[in-house]
Amino acid sequence: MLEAKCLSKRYEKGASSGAQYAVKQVNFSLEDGSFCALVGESGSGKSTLARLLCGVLPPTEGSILLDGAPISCKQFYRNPQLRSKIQMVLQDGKSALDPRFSVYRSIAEPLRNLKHLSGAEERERVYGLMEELELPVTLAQRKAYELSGGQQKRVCIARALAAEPEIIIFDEAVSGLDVLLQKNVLDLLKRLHAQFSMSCLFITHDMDAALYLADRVMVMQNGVIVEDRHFSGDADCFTHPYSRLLLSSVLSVPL
Amino acid sequence: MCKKLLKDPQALVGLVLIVLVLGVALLAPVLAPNDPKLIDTTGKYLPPGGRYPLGTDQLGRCVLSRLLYGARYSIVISIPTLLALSVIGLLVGTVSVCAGKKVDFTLNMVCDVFIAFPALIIAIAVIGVLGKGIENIAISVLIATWAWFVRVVRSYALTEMGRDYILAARISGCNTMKIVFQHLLPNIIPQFLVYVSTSMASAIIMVSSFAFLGLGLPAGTPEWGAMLNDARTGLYSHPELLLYPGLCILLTSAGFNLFGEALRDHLTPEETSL
Amino acid sequence: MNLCVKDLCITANRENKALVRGIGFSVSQGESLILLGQSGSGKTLTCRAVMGLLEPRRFSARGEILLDGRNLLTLSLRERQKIYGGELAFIPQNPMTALDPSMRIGAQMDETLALHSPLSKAERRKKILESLSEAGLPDAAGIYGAYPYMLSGGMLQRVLIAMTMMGDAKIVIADEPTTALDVVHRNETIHSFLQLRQNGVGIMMVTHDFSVAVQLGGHVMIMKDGIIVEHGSVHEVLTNPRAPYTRALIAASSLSHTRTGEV
Repeated sequence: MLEAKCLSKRYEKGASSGAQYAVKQVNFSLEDGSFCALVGESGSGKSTLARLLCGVLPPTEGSILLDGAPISCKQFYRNPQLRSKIQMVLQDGKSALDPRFSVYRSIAEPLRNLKHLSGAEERERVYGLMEELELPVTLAQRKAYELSGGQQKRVCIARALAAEPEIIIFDEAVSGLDVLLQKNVLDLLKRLHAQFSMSCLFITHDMDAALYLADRVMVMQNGVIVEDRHFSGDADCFTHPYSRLLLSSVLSVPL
Repeated sequence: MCKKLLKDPQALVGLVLIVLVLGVALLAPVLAPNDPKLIDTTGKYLPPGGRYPLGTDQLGRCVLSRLLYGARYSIVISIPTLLALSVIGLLVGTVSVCAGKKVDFTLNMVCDVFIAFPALIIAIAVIGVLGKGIENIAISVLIATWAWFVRVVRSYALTEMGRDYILAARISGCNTMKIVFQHLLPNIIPQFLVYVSTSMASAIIMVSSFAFLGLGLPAGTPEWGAMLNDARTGLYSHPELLLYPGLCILLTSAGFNLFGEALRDHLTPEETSL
Repeated sequence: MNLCVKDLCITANRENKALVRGIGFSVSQGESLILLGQSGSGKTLTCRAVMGLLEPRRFSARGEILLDGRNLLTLSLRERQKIYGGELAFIPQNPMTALDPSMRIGAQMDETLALHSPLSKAERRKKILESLSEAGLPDAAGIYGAYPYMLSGGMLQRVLIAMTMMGDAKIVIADEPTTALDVVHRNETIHSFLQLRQNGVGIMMVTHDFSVAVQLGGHVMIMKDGIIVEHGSVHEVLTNPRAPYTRALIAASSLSHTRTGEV
């Protein structure tokens, strides 16, 4: 279980505006095996929260607990076992992949850093993951920029899965893809979540995608979580005006 | 990539010039018809022809031989200097970016100090202290320009470090060493190579300008800048003696510049297509 | 005024590939038309062809783009220049590209206005402030004195809409104007478009988002691989989609409903 206790991040701005909170006093817990969505606009602090939880950005205040034990960025850096427990998929598939790395090397990178496998085991694992994510084996030696947007996203997801994490954080995992491709990737996430029984934190600005996937939805505004609901198909459970506003973008189809 | 580069006329012209200069530098003893330092006071300012294809200078030395040997000096000073500059630039630049804010701040200040001094002042100081000699010219070029190389590498590294793939590498368990050697350096070296190849031109000009001012090389050395300086005495009667070394400097630096810029166009197509 | 496109074909010269294959539509003042499709469907190309923004070296366009009977594809450059930015205005996906980053918003608007109208400076300022607030921007005076970087993408988009309101644009072409915006700004920007339409301006909008189409209303054309697979009023298409592609698009744009369906 991943918990955040009074988590805050403050950025020092220019002299006039002083310090600004990107994330302010956030408390929440992510239960094992749950699929939780964090919804908010750009600038609401959700990406900062993702980086805090992932242990790549030190918090100003508060702490992160994994299975009850507080952990710091340094521990994440030093301890490969801990590192492999929480993985993140970044927003832009293209820039999240090193342009000089082949698909194979990109997927193998976390294996080499975090797991100690023999050459044969590594190959088996990488090709297994590629198959799992419906990436044709012929792409293995291609460079990231030669792939389509959807394929790049799949490589990023494969990288995260390679570490065999307990928790994956998806930071705007489908924005930038067109609607049909979005649905495709979302369905993939749904399947992977069930198959690998991990917990997922799905960060998005798209309420529609959040409601499609998640069994719990948190709404974030200006660094604060304003609403946190378990969702089981009835959007009326959201009462906060900001949540209602985000819901207004969801297309209502008369079925 | 290489094939595409060779199809670009700009790169091709640059490459031909570079190869030409390198070839001349290498084969100078074979190509030169005479000893470049041999003084013959009976044959001053001889017109081109016969033993002296480009004539002789004010001391009766073979101009062609001096030009051919001159390529050696330019190349011998510039290439090792640039190699040293590249190593210093890559090393200090990446350390500056990766070793924390305090180190970055300090190194930045040191660079500012060095950038503040004009190259010529540094050259005069270094040669004044260390005396004349090829290696002292190289040292003064090094001291005058290392801070620029560090700056350039630092700015490349800062841009790359801000990219998502570095963050993704960190999440996938790379330590700082791995990030620097597997991700950062491979991604900045191509851009840096471009900078180095265009800097080659300015290094050659800088060496020649020091020699022109009489800094660093013993009298009589067949260096292009020094030859320009010597030719000033006969400026009105024999202007062609100024023209030859001038053209040599121009063509060599143009070669490296053309090639460097073509290289940049091919490595960063998205910037130039706008 | 009426914009009518007949049998438009766009070919990529180098690959000799037809990217838009014989499409036609018409927008009049006070109407809105939405061109909806995935990336690569040819919708942006169509939009660029109408605005005369196709690179002639890479693409060639055939067919007719008629603005009140004048074919924009065959008009002389000078006549076209008068139309673009005048009767026909363009709103790009990224509003930053249309504004000078080093000039205050008010000054930029004033510059355009001064070119076309005989008003005095004070009158021009009054008119600019009016159109800014009409486009739904709060604190018009503040925006008048602001630089583009000080405003969010949604606000800049509405500044552009205000500019078209102020000018005498009859038809506005908008290329994915809401794609880069988040929900709140998207709603506000669409609101400004609705105001624009109420003022009697015709709107042709390109988007890939069905919910934008629903909010704007009007006529919708679903585009796929360079042809129009379905068209009709937004309500009609949404409630009774005939083409399987349209159904897939609607399903992908209303994911949470399919989930509700499961439950």
